[in-house]
Amino acid sequence: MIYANSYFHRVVVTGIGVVSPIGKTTKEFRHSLAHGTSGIKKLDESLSLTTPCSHAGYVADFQGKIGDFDHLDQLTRKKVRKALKVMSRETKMALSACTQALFDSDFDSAGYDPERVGVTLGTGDMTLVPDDFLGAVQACQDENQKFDFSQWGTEGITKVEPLWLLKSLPNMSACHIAIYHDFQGPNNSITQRETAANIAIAEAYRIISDGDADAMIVGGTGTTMLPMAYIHQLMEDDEVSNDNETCRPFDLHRSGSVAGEGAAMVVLEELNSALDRGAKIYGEICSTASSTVINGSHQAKREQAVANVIKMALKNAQVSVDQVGHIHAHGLSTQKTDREEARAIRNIFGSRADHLPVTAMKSYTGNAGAGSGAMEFVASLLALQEDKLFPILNCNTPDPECPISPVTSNDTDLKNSNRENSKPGNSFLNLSIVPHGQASSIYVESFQE
Amino acid sequence: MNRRVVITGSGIVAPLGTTPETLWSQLVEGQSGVGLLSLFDAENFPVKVAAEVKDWSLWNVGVNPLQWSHCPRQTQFAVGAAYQAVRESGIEKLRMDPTRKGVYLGCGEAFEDFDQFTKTISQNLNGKEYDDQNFTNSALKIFSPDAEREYEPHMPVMHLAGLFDAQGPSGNCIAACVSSSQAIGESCRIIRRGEADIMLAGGAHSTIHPFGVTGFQRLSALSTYSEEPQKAVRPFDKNRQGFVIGEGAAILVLEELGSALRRNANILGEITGYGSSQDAYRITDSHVEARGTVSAITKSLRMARLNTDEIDYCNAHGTGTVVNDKVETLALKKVFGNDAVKLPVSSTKSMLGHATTACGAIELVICLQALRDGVIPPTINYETPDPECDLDYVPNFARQVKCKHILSNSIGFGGQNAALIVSRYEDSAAAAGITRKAA
Repeated sequence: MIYANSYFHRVVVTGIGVVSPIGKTTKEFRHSLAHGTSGIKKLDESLSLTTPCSHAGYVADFQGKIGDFDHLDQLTRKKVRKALKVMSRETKMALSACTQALFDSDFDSAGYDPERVGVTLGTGDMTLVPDDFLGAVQACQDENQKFDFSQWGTEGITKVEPLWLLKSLPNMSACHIAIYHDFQGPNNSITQRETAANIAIAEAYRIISDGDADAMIVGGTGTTMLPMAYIHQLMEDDEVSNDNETCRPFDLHRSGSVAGEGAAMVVLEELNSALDRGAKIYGEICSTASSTVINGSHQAKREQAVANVIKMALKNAQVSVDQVGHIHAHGLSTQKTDREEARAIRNIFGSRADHLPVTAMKSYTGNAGAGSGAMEFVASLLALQEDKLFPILNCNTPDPECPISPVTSNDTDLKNSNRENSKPGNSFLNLSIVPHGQASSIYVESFQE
Repeated sequence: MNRRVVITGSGIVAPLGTTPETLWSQLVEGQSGVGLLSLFDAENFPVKVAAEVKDWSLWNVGVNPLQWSHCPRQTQFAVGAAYQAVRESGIEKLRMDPTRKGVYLGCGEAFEDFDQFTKTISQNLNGKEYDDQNFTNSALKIFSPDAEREYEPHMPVMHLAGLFDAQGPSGNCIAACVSSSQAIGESCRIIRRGEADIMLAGGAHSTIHPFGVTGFQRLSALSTYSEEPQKAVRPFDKNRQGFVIGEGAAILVLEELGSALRRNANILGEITGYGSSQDAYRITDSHVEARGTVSAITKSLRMARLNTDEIDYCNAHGTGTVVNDKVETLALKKVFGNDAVKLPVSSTKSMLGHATTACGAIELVICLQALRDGVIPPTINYETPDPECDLDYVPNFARQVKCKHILSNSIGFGGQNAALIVSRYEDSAAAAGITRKAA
């Protein structure tokens, strides 16, 4: 249908920004990965007002105040400061990561037509936060502290913040980003939990590849620390415990996922436009895939879904299993999901899986929902750039039931640095999984003309 | 690279009608689906009207509703609409690589059980004392894991992928009221690029819930008129005062033209244009010059390679709020220029209320009926012209107009815009290099 374009454009990454438990700038993020520093920590008791977690990958130094937003011109800074009160924490993290990514790619100098720059973001669902309703509920309590519904319509509603809905809607992060940077192009938000970032990157990639935009700001932002999100995590996997302190993907003694939060954003550009303006190129998006597999008895078939998205991504990029540099696994750190993911990798890569490096960043950040996929994508881009792969933390005894080759701290020690396992190669496959039966992948190569 | 995308199946669950046919017969009669809100006791609420789906259950598509009783209304609507669409298209019998068939929906957030949620807060709220840890501990005891899982907005996508073995590209988007239009537009892109041959696309939503009413009421977006519920929403009328909350689902089977022709499928229409844009202006207000809406419509026309005088009908977003209808009118005038006064524009939200994320898909199914029958559904409750809204809104009565190309426009909170163009399918099989099998 796009008759004007008889070919697909190539799409490259030209800027990155992060707000993560291991650093709220790319520099800090890079440093933590290089030194194997985890961002999962015991939370201060004062946080119990906003999260039920005892340990989490929490971005402690991100206050959500105007000081967290660098690289804004004076006028935009003023607008952002004024709007902070209608932004959720996820929106603030996304916006901060976005301004970093734009600065990193020197985007202002690119001079694109604002109608040809868009935003696609992986975001969480609209998690109800009890905190937003304390006043309203209180107004409807009878003398015995019981909630009286008949009071809500008259007393309750008016106690809810007027802009509560706009603060909570999942598409607001993408809208705020568009507003402060005047991005009038295609704008969408993918609410697909852990796979959302990969799917958002895929959509933006298609849009540029089709010639419908010159640049897209993409990524993900999320949290599993908020009460309802955390409750959902606890409910859906009986392995997850309330007081899990350590995330150890693919380790024999892994004991479930750990909550987290964070955001990462990247600038995608059409290759020739990027080259023309002399932009720095982190890598090229070569293919994307997503797949849901659920059988007739409503059982999630995650292993098949992961196998599908690996196979589809390799096929669409026209590469063989030997050409893949490393895999950035979902690595949730639950017994079941890690085993299924590893088996799917083995199933497609065969004997290559004996040596193919597999890393997993949730050991540093916990599960940040839609934010994780994006942070993991950025971490692997940095690994390509530095030709150095960061290890999976706490994977001290790789589980023989996970038939892959996890990169452990042992592999990346200096004395072992000649092992294939410490090298990211020239490409990576980023995998994400939703427990209800979906997987997604992005295949990225170092840029070569 | 010349893959075209056609529609081979459609399903709908909406107020007024729970199949495309039954809904259409009500719309052309100018009936209203708005009534007193009955899904919860709204007696003390400032808003007492809604457009509800009534007298429907999954039995209507031969599915036992008990198996889905833990799911929110919107998920059940999505499943019902999907069964209709898949059966109409005949793809159930089609043998194909399951990874070539995907699902992309724009389903909104389903709210937590209000009673349970507020009671659990209340139990743990004593004066100024409140702790999320205590809330969580109570919730883990009381809330049902089966129900909680289903509140997440991606679950309808998961269910449809499972029911119809669609292992191809899948996802859910939320872009306020343009969600399902964008899901349809991006699904077309996926097919055109060759990443899939069939996509189930559309959306489902219900905000008829105490939290939904609370949110929209706080934004002053709702019509509070309740003396005559059927007159509560009056798009483009001078005395309009807001929208009425609606609900529903619509699912389309989108198919690559060659695939549809090879299996001799009945083609309901072709998606020829799509545009998405952002006002990039303010979170709370539409751009005063309607620049985002102008941009999305312009893009859709450019993609469809159509001139403004070739659009026979525009199904407007037409929510019935003061600002939306004014800005949308301005946008149409800017894009269509002198052709604007000749363009019939109507808002079916005057009859169906606002199904939020699902509205774009519902309205596209309505456009398919208009295309087939050469009839344009009316804007009802149009009584007093507004000098700022001076187009032909097809007031109160349906009109016979032969349609070849129809524009479906959507506008959303936060400055989101999406436009779709659906065209009568012209049999140009030869152009696609495909010979039609004898039936």
